Amino acid sequence: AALPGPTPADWVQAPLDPAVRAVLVGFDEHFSYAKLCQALRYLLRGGPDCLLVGTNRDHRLPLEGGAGIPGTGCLVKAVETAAQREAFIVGKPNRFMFDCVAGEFQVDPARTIMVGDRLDTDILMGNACGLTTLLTLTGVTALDEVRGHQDSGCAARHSLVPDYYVDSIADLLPALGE
Amino acid sequence: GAGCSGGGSSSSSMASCRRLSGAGLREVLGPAQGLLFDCDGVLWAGERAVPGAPELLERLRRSGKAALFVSNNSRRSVAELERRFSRLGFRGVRAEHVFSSALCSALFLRQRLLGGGGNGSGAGRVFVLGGEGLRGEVRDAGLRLAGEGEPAPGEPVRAVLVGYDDQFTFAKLAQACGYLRDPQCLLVATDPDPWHPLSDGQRTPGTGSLTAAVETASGRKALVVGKPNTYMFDCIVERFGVDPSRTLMVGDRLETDILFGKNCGLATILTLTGVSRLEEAQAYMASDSAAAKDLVPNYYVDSIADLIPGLDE
Repeated sequence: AALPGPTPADWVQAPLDPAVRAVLVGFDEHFSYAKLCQALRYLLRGGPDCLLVGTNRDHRLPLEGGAGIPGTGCLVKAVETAAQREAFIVGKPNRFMFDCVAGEFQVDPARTIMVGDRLDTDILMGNACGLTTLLTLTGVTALDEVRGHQDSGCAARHSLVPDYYVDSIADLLPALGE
Repeated sequence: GAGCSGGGSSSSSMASCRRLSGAGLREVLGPAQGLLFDCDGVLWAGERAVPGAPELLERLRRSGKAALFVSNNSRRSVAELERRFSRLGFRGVRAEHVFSSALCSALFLRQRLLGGGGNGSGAGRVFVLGGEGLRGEVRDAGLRLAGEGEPAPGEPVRAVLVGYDDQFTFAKLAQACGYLRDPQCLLVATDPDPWHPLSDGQRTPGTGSLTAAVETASGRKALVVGKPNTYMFDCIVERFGVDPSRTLMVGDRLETDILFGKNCGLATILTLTGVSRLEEAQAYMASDSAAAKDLVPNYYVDSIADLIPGLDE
């Protein structure tokens, strides 16, 4: 709905939809202070009865040539900071999405491989769910990042280390039959 | 930034959050040479002066005590704030007495980008996420804003300044991140406040929430000018030569004003006309965490009008 007036003092006078029980933050290229303001209003009105959910925490979406645009994680952080509460994050590395898949299909983690390019989402979720994890180097992660985690003394960083890596998923072709 | 001098309240023991009244009030106010006041929630709430606040400032002046103002609010220029003081019934407050995070961010950027002087050529531009008040302070400091005027071709953006920006958008966030890919480009925030109260009990998001978005997108940590960091106190000392051991900090927000006072070696007074509740101060006092102790004020009052009896007639 259109907000009355041009300033925050006007926006906070707009009536709130009484049926709203959750604020869901996803990728929003039209994110604005006005929307942040409305999100905060719903969260304050509802307290713990209003859910705060984020689709994912990715901080950056890479584009060609090394450029990138801000990811959903930035918008989630803005809402969390204003509301001083933590969002429930549905996306990787949270296991919620794996549980959705496993619930729909007969998935045996011991016989399933998770393939991804990002350590703190794809690989971390795969490791946490007991999958075999395979890193492909065609995305955001370079191999020395993995070495860094491997060589660290930190258990949390070890869980970012994949079981295997390939330069590209095309490298899997020779292993598959005719 | 420069550290702050110790003195004033004891830095090793925790403050005890005592109500300031009667004889205690005279003992504390008597030796003070001056008071630093936060503005929102202390002197006024919205468009209404806190009852008795203008009289307090008048009595301070008659007692020969200085009153200076230190605010995290980055919306207004100090010239606008001077007019606001006057409009709300406060007499005799001049722009030079007012230290806003907008002004101090501009001073900080001037120091870092222009160094000790010079005409600013080659200093680069500043990309400001904020309103006209903040943009004006940056311009008044001799800096050029990105996207304005006749930028020299390829003149780099040397700083991104995040302030209160009610016109913040995803596009501006993306633009800021583009500039921050250059590691030489500074990321500065006017203040860390996550939200600000509105007069009807609602809240509006603060600079802190926008800074969190920029930090997350860029992978950088912002240099935060405002309270509780001490840079604004450095600006005050440079202009007025304040002695922290003879100066009191009066504010309404424990996490900014009271911690600022602690960080700068000032005795602190919490006033209850704004954001923080007495129960919150008491909870910090009861907490085991060392960090929580620094959020406990030395004293509290229901309103700054309660300070008036501590001053000579």
